[in-house]
Amino acid sequence: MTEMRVASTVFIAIIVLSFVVALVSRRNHAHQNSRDFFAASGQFGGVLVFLLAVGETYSIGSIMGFPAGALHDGIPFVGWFLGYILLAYPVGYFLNPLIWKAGRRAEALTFADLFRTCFPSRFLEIAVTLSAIFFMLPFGELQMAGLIATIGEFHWPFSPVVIAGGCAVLTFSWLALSGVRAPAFVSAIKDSIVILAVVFISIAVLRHESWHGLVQASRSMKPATAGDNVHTITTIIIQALGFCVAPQSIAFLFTARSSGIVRRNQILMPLYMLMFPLLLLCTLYASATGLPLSGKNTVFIDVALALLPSWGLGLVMAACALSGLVILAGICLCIGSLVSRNLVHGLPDSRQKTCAKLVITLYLVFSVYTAMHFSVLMPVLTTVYYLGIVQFFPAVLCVCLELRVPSGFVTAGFLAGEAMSVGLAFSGVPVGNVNPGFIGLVLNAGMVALGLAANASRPVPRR
Amino acid sequence: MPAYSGFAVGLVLPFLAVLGPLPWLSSGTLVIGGIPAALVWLFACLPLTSLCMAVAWKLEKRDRQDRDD
Repeated sequence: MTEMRVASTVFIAIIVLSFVVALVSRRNHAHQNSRDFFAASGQFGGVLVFLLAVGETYSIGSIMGFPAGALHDGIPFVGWFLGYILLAYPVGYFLNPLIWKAGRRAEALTFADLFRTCFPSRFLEIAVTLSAIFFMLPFGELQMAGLIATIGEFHWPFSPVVIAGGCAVLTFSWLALSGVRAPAFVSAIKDSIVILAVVFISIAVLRHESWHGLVQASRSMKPATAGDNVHTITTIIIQALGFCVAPQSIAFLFTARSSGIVRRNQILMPLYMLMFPLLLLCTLYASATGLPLSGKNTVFIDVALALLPSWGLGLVMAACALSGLVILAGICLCIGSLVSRNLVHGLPDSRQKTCAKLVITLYLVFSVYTAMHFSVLMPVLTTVYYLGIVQFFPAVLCVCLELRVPSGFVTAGFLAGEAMSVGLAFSGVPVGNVNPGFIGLVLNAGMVALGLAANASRPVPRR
Repeated sequence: MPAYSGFAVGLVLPFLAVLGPLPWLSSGTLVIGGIPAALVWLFACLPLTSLCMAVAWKLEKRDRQDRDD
């Protein structure tokens, strides 16, 4: 009992520290306009942009989901998970600077602003905005579910709804204090703590289990089948592309001071993934020792409970919780800006911020509610996330390369790609284990290419 | 140095390195140091991908200098 009290104290101290840091991030920026609130006026240097972008890699889903997925699904899972994140970085190395430059040309704060400027179609702007919001909806619930599971390990006398409500209030207060600056600054603490937690737990695993035992466990991991391979490779391709055009990732790019910063960061990001081999040690330890698990996704926490002293456990819990909260804050900000700038048109600057805060409140309430009631529906929506998000890729490429494609072809390609992907995913039509998103993307890219060929001489409208 | 060499090293090479051997390694029984070769190769690809992008960066920089000269 005393041990849990120490763990709780460490956890609460770190959460309070995150709030203090969010407060500090407000310094010199107490009166923000919408550009500062959503994109820090494009003033962030390399470190803050790196921390914001890399936060996507180390979400609560990654930290808790990677060891669990590797344990249950074996090598195909590890190949898919590491493959798509890793390959997203070289794609981003070439694409992100172009997106940043297109954003500067269009004075964009959201990814839909890019479309508004480059394609004279209000319908396309609304379609991509609604799509993006729809596909991001489950992410709030996923973070909430992870937060409830993590904080639930403390066995505090609070119901899950109170815990989720507390997380929602904390997220809102960060954002209300200084917009995108808060998650960026809090990411600095979060990443330091995640690194410490993963390193501590790896050292503990290596101290408590022989290398031979861990190696034996790695050999008992499930191998891939031929069908797995086709699906894994097509999934890696669409998710690596989708990762770079995800609305929240694009919004983070607009916070950078220069395109060089954006490009240089991509070189370092794979090195940050060197924590995944350490996370895999948790899987191998659980497998080698037959560690009893308290839930499907709790391998990381269960290993921490078994091996770490109470302060270390508090650190691990705080790392998981901050990972969830930072991602949640980023998604809230992205949805808030999309509604206030792209769905509702023509709001004056001061009211965009107010509108975004209202949307953020509603989204947080929705996330708490769905975390309590719709745990079955949300994984389905998560499955379709990348099927839908990757369909933005051809259009984003047209914007970045200033390709002359009529908006009708872009809209038709985007909608056909989404309809084809989601239709194939849920109709059960056999596609030879190819990811349906891949087929949708080929159709989408084909229609855009047709538009390009049909209208090669028409200039891209600029603001 | 033409720009496409940076593109080949920075983008095409990492894709080939990860996706090329993955089907063969992840369904096979090959082990390196007792660990499945698929895991060893994927973990090796993490620093290798950084290296590829760093080389692409250098190539691009040299290309820009050549053009300026």
